[in-house]
Amino acid sequence: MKSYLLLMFVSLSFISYGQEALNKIQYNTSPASSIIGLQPSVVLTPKTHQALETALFSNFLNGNNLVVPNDFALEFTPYWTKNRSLSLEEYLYPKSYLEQFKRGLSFSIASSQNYLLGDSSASNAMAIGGRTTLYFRQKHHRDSLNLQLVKLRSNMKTNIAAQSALDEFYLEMSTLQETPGVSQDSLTFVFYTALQGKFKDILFSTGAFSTKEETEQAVVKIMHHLPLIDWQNTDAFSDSVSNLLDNILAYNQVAGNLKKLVKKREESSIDLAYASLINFPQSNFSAIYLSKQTAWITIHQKWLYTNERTLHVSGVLRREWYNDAFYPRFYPNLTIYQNNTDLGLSVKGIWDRFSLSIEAVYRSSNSEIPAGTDAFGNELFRKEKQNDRQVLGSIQYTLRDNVVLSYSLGERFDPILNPGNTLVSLLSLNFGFGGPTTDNVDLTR
Amino acid sequence: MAKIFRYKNLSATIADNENVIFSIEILSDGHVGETLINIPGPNDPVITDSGSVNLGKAAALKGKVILSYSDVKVLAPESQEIRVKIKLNGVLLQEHSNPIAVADRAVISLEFKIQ
Repeated sequence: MKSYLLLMFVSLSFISYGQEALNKIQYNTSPASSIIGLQPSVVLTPKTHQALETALFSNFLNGNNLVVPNDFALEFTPYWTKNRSLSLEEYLYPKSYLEQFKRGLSFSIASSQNYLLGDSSASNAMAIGGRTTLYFRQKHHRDSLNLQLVKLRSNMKTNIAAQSALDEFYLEMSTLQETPGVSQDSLTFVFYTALQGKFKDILFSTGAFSTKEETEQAVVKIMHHLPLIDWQNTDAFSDSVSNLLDNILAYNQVAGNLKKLVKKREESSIDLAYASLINFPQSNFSAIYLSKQTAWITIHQKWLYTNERTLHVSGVLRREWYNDAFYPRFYPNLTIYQNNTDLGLSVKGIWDRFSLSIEAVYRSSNSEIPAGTDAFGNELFRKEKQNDRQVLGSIQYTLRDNVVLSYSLGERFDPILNPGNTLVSLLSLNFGFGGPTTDNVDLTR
Repeated sequence: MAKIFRYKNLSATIADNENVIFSIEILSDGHVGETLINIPGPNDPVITDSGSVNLGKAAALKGKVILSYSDVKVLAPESQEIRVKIKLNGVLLQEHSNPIAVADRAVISLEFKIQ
């Protein structure tokens, strides 16, 4: 059996952002890169929220022709190219499925200067695609989120009310300091006494604790841990109060729960995608063919064990249509079916920066072939069918939050050219761009 | 933990007979925000997330120190900064931004006067 080797490799230097992104970029599986054959995977992984993703490919074919093309794939999500001022509730729960559709809508483009025709000559080809992701609504998720949000908002209201009270006290104390006969010690005593009463009022009014006893215990705790005020540096005292309130109100726990809930919202989703392949067999605009069209419906389910360890299972239904005018002309004497229906399953595990995935896809190919005419001159057709399968394993490593290195190995469907050459070995690098960088935000504040 | 960003000695010129409209716009996606404006008198208005509030006639506020505190947290994975615009009568009083890497929760404290 002949072997087919596709090796993709890129080595580029890059700069990445310093913060931890919750939704990291993954191996590029855009509709356009899939239909043009830059990546062999049938199952499209869920789109990240990066406004722009791009992959650079370079391949070497070990057939009769050695070609070194500059292949390129890009996926663009217009909605997320700018801030939309969405509150967390608006961000997680769009008002309608139409709004979800708009937000998730991405467009992809891919190109190759070495799309091989039936006679092994290289031609130009371009693919365009679009897709969107819809998340299933889960009432229990929203209830849990609302519960944590009430706690966070109560924490925030307590904090800003305390800061406001402190600044008021500082202003009053600065007036008192100028009063003759008032010592620094007596001023400090008055300040702490007033503060104790104010904290009690604030904690009651923001509903931070459910009972009077709990509130009073919290105030005692705050007063016990307060540092001694330096009247020359009241900002430091205010910072300490803010941190103390966060500890007393278990801010870290509430924030952690919210982060988990934001990630959990992506547990169940459905991905709809479409792509078209456009061929320029004579490398000019006199002959352009819409040679192939593909549509995907992919259902994803994710299980979140920890923030860094997840299991993803995806089921895909893919339909491909081949152009009757293009393939018989440019791939003569090769068996090409009019359409393929693929049914597949993909399982992916992510452990910190590593991820391992495997996909298995069953294919049913069909054609209706003209078989002359009957006695009345009506055209007759005969049906041809064939089955095939693809099994592919991939390992990915996240180099940086916006850069992913991926290697795939497996057996693909019989390709149109050189049927039987089904071995796939693929190395690729994927980049994500989006949001501001440290260059355009003010770091001096 | 919250990081407090303080902006002091700010001012805005508003005619005596005009109402003072305080607005906060949190531009970052996936935000949770609470704002309190400390004005003279017992009733300090509060804004949840983005919004506006009438602080009263400018004449009544002139010469007095007004304090505002906005506690903002951003939870959307693709947001890489906290960006907030605070306006008085539609005119920018202060814009704040900080990378999420510096703080994913910011308390923006403003001290300003109406002239």
